[in-house]
Amino acid sequence: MEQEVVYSILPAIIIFVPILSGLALFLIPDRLSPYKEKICIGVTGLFFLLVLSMYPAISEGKVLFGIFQYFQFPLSISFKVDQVTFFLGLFFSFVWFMTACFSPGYLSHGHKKERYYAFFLMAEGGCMGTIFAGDLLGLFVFFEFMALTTYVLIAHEETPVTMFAGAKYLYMTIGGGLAVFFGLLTMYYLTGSVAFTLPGLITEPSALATAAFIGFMIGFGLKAGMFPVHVWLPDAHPAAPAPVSAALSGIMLKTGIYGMIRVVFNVYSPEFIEALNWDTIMLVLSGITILLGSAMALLQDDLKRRLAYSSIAQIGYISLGIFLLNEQGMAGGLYHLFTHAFMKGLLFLCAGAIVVQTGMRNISQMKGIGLKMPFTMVFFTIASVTMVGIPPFNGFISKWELSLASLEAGLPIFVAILIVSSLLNAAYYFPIVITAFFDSGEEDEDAEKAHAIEHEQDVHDHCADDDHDDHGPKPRKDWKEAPWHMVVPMGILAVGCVIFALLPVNWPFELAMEAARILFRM
Amino acid sequence: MAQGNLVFSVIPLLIVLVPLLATLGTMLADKYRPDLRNVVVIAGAAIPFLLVVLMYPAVNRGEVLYLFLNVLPPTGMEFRVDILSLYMALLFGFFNIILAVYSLGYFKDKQEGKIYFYFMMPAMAGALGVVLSGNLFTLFLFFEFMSIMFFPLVTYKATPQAYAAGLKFFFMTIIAGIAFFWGIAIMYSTVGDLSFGSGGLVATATPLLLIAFICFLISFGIKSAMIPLHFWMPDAYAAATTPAAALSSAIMLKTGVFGLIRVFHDIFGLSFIQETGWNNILIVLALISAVYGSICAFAQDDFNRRLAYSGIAQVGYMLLGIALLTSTAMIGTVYHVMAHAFMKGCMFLCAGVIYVNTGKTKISELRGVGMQMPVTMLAFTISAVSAVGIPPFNVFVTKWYLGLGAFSAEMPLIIGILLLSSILNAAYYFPISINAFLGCRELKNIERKRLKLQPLRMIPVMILAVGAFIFTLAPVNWPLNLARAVAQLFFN
Repeated sequence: MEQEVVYSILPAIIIFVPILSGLALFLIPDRLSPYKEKICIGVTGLFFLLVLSMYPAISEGKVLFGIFQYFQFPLSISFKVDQVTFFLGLFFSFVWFMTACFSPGYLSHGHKKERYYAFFLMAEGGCMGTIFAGDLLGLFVFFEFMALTTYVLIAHEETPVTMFAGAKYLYMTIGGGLAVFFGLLTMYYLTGSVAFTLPGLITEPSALATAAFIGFMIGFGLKAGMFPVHVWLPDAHPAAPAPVSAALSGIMLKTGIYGMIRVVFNVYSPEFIEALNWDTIMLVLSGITILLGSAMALLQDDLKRRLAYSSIAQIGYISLGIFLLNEQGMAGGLYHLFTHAFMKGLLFLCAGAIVVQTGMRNISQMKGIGLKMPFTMVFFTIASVTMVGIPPFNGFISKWELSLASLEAGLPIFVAILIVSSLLNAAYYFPIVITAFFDSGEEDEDAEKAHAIEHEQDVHDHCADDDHDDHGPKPRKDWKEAPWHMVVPMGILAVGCVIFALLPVNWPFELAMEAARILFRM
Repeated sequence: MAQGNLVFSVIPLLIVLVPLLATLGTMLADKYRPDLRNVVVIAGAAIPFLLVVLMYPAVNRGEVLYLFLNVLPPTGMEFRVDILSLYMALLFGFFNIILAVYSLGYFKDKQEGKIYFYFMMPAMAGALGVVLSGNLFTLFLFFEFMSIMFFPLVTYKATPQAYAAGLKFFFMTIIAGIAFFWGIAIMYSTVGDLSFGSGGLVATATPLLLIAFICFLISFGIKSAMIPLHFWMPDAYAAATTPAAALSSAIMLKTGVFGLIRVFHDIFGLSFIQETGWNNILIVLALISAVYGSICAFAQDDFNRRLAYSGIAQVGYMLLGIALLTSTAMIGTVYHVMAHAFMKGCMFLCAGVIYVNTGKTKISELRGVGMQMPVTMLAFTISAVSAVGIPPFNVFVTKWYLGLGAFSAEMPLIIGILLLSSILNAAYYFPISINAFLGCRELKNIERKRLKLQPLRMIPVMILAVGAFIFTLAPVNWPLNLARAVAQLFFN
């Protein structure tokens, strides 16, 4: 059944809203400097609304399509919004919006804010362009643009540690980009086109087709942080400022996954991949990614590093869902994309709030922090519970779907892996919560302060209590809750982790199901 | 080969004569009217470009402009402008203007730069003559003239290193000339004709012809700094003034590439080379250049030297595109001639701006220079990103076509080497940009203060940086269309 294609320039235009405003902020920082926060929040918010405005057309089953007359490399670029891209675009732009709202609070003591906001907006544009691109060339162009602009965000603090993490990220990403380039080139050579069609264009097995698949998987897998090309990720996430970590982990990793979806369905076809047994290899790698990420997360004391390894594990879930190559797995994978964007975004924002308010990065220092920053830690708890997959939270739904899909594919081993991973999730998230709320840590407060001072040089300035008067008439000595403009974005994301599962109609899940149906309906 | 109808035109001769006359004019102006000198220099660079533009409509229609001067027997002096010549001449003409403007800014002191212009402009005339010439003998004349005029530019700083580098360059040039001469002699004695445009003069392979082929490889290989004939270049670039290095990199290097295209397609002919398989020699040398140049570039701390080694790698791309003997690879080469000129030209000009404003020539000294000169380093960064071949910058198009060319020549492994070279490019260019902008929070305020820069130096830099992406973002990629027309001329 063919979908109705509607010509629309909207998908092409909206990409350039953040990119151009970011460029403007970068090129004329002096004049725009007083409005930089407002520009960043306003543009990301506007972007979300623009994506939302496409909903009526999408809900009628139409596909928005626009060819862009510019960018004549050899070929022009097109933009396309179908159910899959709309699903991702909507939730991702929302998380971008939330992280943008969080940024001013996090950066209050930071340096080079103009540069940060400029590249933040450009990275959003690149990320969304990757999602909305209607062919593989466009996807690649925006993918690279996002990768390079993100580098500046990762290295924002400019300390030796962040510079090293950034460099590792940069060179691995360039390598990944070249691998994708190879795949792209091969696809064009073999088929004479880079358009997304269903089913994909490559239908003949050949050595080149295999090489291209390997190239795609290296490139996109690297971005997504899959084993064995995940090594940049645990360094880059802790090094970046917290809102960037949130965007990086919650959203930008998913562009790699999105690329994989496009490769599986639009470059090749599920039957083709199944016939050549490539799915088995990818499933094994997904399983390793899940277990490795979870196990490594258990060993970390640095909170953001633990979250980073946890992201690796979660990416494993999603790629598992894709490479089970059935509709239910796809729906579970897509739903988990959304779930993970919200909860991991939230977790990184919480970690950022803790760093800003107390200067603490290590979990072992965080005794009793739940009493000082109750909102933050309650949100953290909600996200952790979601992550472990306890009903009725979002994580439960995706794991349920993924387990059913594994059984349907006749691979019960993956149910076992999912359960083990959930246990590990519990083992590395709940102790944080328990430490935060139930370990008062009265006796070693002095030691804690010493730690905090130690971290001052490579983290933000130790923030005094005095500027949080708005939380009560007379602030308590140990009250360190983040200001409202940081708490509100976190709160919204926390509500997002819970609310959809409680509503009578799980709207994101319906969208995910619809998207999966589209991909498998040929 | 598509043979357009010949149209008589004196414009090619004028294009070559104007810079020579302007040189004379500059000398006179220096003596009698120093206030007019800058005008004469600019006019000497701008008028040839306008003349080339004047030829554009006719050549674009498929006509071939032609001029025969009955001097220098036995072959005579011929000018012949087809689409490839036009493309190269447009590029050279444009860069002549850019470099002339930049040089005027670079030498603040009029006395200091006086002699420089006396040699720069004839070298430009020589480069234009090479691409407009209509037979191998005329090409030879201009080629030698250009090379010899470049010698004083290498030694211009008059330091012992500059003399050593100049001598090295000079002897290599002589070798190139001798090899070229030998090649011409063999060709002339074998076929009795040296003119372009017939799509190949020879039919059967003889050992003598192989020698001629190798002679041409040597002479053009020296000019374009192909491995193993590259060793004059890093020394010369490090010793020469920066605008001279830019002149060599953006323009003269390309005459070697141009010469090889002419030798492959106009002297030996496509089918002949395909039968004999002699192009495989060039494939191997080009691939070695692409990787070896990049690896060597790592080890260099001198800014110009690193750029020079990187140029060796980039020339590897261009030669590869010639050697693959496919239409798409030829598009890649011709496009890369333009892409490389913009990218490397911009980098050299940036290096020059940094040198004249801060006196720094070592990459390790450049920490935080992005604070002092943000526009310069931004331009450098754009060029560096272009060099790696990231879309939407020019080199992406090059790699796209070279890759397709390698596929159609059924050598997909070559793409792996191209990608390796790309990542090496990233690894030795990006640290320069990164160190210039990031990781310098501990620098003192005085070292972060923004410098005031001369517009004459900065405008060329900015134009070249914009050139790194403007064509690919435009609705019509105009150089690419020209490159396609060139490929169509040789492969149809």
